[in-house]
Amino acid sequence: MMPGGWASLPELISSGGPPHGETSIFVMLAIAIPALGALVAALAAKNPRLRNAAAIAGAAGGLGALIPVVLSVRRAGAVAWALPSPLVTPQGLVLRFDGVGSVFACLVALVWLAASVYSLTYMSHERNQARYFGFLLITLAATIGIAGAGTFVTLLVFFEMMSLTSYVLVVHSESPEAYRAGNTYLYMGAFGGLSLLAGVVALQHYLGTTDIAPSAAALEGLAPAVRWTIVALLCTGFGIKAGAVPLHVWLPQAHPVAPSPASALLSGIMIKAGAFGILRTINMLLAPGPSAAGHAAWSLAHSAGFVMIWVGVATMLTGVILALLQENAKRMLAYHSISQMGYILLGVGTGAYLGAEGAVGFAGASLHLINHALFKACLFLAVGAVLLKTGEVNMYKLGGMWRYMPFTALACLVAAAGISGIPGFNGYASKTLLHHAIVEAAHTGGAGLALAEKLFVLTSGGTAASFIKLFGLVFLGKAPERHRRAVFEETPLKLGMAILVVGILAIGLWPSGAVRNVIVPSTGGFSYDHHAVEHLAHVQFFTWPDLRGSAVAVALGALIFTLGMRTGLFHLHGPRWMSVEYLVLAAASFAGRLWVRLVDAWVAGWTIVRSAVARSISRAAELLPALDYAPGQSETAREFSLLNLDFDFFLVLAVIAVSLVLVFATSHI
Amino acid sequence: MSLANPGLIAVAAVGLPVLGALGIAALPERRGHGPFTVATCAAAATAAAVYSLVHAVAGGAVVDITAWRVGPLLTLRFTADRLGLLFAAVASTLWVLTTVYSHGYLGNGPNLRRYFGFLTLSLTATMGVALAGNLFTLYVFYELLTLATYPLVIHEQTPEAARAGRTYIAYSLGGAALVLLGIVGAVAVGGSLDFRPHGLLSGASPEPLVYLTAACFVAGFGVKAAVMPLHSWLPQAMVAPTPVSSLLHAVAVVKSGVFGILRTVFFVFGIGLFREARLDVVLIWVIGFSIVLASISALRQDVLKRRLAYSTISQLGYITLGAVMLTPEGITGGLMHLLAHALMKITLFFCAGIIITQTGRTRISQLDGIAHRLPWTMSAFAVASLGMVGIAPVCGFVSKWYLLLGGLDRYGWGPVALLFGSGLLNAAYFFPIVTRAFFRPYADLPLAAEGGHGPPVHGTGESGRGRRTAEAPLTMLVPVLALASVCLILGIWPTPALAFLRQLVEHL
Repeated sequence: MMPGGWASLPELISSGGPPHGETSIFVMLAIAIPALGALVAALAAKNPRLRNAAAIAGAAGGLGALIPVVLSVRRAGAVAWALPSPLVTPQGLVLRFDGVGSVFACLVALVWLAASVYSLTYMSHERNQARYFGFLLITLAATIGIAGAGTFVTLLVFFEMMSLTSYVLVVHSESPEAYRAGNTYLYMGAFGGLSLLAGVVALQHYLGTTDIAPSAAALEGLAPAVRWTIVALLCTGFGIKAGAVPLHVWLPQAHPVAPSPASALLSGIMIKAGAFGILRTINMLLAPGPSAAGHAAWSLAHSAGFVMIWVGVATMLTGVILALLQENAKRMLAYHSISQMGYILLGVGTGAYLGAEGAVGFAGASLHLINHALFKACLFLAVGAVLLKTGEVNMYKLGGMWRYMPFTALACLVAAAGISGIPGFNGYASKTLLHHAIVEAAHTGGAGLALAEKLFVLTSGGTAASFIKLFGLVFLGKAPERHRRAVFEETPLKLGMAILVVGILAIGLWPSGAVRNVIVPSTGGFSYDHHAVEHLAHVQFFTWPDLRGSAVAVALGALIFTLGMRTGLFHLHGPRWMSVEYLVLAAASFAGRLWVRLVDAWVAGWTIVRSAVARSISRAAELLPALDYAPGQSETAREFSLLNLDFDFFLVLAVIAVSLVLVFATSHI
Repeated sequence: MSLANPGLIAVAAVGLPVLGALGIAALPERRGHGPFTVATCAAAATAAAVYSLVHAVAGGAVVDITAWRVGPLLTLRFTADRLGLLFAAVASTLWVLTTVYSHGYLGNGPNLRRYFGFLTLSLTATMGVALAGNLFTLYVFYELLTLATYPLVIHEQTPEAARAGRTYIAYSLGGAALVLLGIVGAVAVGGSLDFRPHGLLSGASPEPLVYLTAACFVAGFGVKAAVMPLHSWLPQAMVAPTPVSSLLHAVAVVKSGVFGILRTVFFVFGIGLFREARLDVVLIWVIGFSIVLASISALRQDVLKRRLAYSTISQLGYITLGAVMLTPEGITGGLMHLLAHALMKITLFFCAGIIITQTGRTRISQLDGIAHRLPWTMSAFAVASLGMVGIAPVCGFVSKWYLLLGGLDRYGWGPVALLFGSGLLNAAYFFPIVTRAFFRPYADLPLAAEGGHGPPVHGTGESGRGRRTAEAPLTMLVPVLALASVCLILGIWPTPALAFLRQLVEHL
């Protein structure tokens, strides 16, 4: 019998358990095909044709495999593929696509395909293309894996994989600037990964499972403090990737230095993986199960939603203000990614804040997640095409490019209309839903959230201003002398942008269809009120108040643009201490200096102790011979050498005597 | 098993390398493959013996043999339980690879007979430590290990090596003396020297003598396990040839210290007594400091092998930490890390050795763009580094997972915070090496021979300058790639290892 409760050894290796929903091999193929493509692309360094074919086939194959997955999800609600367990983690890997996951996966694969096609031309003169395409595809596999993760530990594995493999894309140019930006990306990613790991381990420990939708009963049993800690850890991990203020520092560094198609994916897709994770965490871990009713059950989600709304507002406002101050077009787009992530976080927050009625917030967030992926990727591809053809990325040094690159100009215009929320383009639909959500939250939440609503409108105005600026400076006006030459826009460039433009227009012109067919089915896994979801399916988008809202935002944008250009406000630079990065670096350098001081003090102290010990040992060593072996010559020894005996012999006698005394004293005779 | 007494195989596992060492000593001192061949065969035969023992024990056999009665209490006794076999299997397998790698590393250098002879003799000592059935046997082989590895540490015969060797001897013998004191304490309390499941002292109450004994054992074995205040021999011993450093750091010496701690915790004190005396909490604090301080020190090292050495100090803490958590998950994590760390760290050291022989570079600041010259080596390095940070699907992830679970199980969020911080530090000192090697332009540095000693540099010079890559000879590259693949395979498919550990933990 083992002491201390060892008899009950917990199951160290999970058996995996039967997956619920349908099973389909396409679940596995959606990840395996891009991974295989990556292998072929990486090994075909000497054969550009095979490499390019593998790159396209990998992305297209991934998208193709997702079609049957989506169909199965429509039929059964979820579709899984059982992997042998335990694979990679002691809890195994569980692949299961549900409504949200399959939509996200399709989005990932579609945008990836566009960027891959575009890369064929864009990267054709770069070094290390095999490495680029290999890592591009392995990142795709990881990102689809994130979408299809059935447990948080699976999500963690794929998330870390995506962080690390995309690092290679960020530093592709191997310039010092890229290397520096890559470092920030890598180490913040590592921090996020560890944060996720801690949260996931805690889930495993407290719930006994890391299932993405744990049973409500198990969750009810958790102490609120534990639940908060877990959610905070997970949200920190995902929030870093999502670029939530103040964890956004890496984003404006890393996104501009990557090759433009990779920037498109980083900004369009990979930061969404963070938002996707937050969406999952808040809705799955804080919301009560479908059976629970009443507001008390939603209180945790309610408070978390409130926090998340303000994180979202801070993120969208910071992002847009900093974006307005940029000259580098790619960096400006990166700051807008932060800002747009703020919209998504705001949507997630309102969804949780409104509790069972929060379907509209969820819908806004997930539709905006899709929309932002489409228009931001398209914007990066358009700006990238200009960069490729002119070698210039500073907006103020460009102009009149519509004459030379008409297709790119058109794509950029469509995407800019999308991000600015102009009716008929996709951003309008999601911003409308998000606006509905924040208005509804403000109704129940009082003055604080009413302010949030005002800030929402302000941010939309800033966004419009920013894209009036981008399009105006780059494509309109007079072209500078050195850029006035005919430019050939290659088919892959056009095709990449065209795929995204079609998506933008489709959602923009038919928003209610998108909501009914894409968003409503993906509420399946969540515990929203039935009527709220029903209401969602019948939202009218082109109503007067909403159109007026859009017009207000655009008018505000035009005003900000005029003011900014006239007054030189766009060239303002904040003091250095205001940047999070500066504060963190200052703190780190202070800690480093402190540590060096401490170590120096420790080393000094230790040296003193050690030399003292060494001195006393050598003194003892000098003394000992003085006591010994030379009774005739040593004063000290002569005193001891009674009866003229050798000192050794005397010592031996003494030891024997002491031993005898000890033996007799302890043997109780 | 067809053999009547599997105990004889245990004796063979310990004895075969002695025969090998004697054979090498009998060879004439001339340049040739003789010592290498005999050493490889001896290591392979030992590994085979260990694996047949694993097979026998899995089939339910009890391996227990008293080889020699020295006196009352003092017997040389060998047993093969799962804990010992885990260590023996890891050590003997990696020994074969290290021997092969040594051949590539040392080339036709001087004193090969001495090198391979003592290398093989050290295997005996390690097997003896792993398969020891009582404290006396453990002590004897623990001492032998110090003496047998000393000639390897000072192989270069430079003043620096001699100094490092002296430090190594002083620390190790001091530690062994403490172990001897601990043994006396154990006999005084428990009246026996034999390892017993649930602990030799399981009936005792936590009296002062028990604390004294525990302190002696932990400090004594802690010297070789490089627990933080007792660690300073380890970075100094980096002057040894790289294959020796890998053995010292990844397998034999440091792991025998850790193994000694495991043996005493589980089989001398027993989990019950250890917990009752609250020694687990004390040790977690000590080891926690060791982990963090060593990681911070590693950050400050520019010499690659020294950084790896400090990393070893920190990572050994993970193993001990898991063991003293005394929870099934914690112990599983610790033992998994014993395996994972051995594989990953030896890979890293082998890579460092290849960098030294192929380019002559020893400092991390010199490694810019080195992956363009050594793509395979640096890929293996990258895989092992990822594992060290604990990123799936490399094997370090699984051990870290269990360590975190084990910590949460009894000690709340403290161990989680510790492993979080340590993981961040691991990333901070491993990733720069990898990113520098892959994503910075290659710098063609004029390399002054530092100190004018060390192994022959194969890859630089006139012939190497024009070539794009300068990969190592296959005797070095194959072990590295094999080990990196094993790190990955074990990470992707940890089932067999976990099943073995589950059995092990159940029998503690």
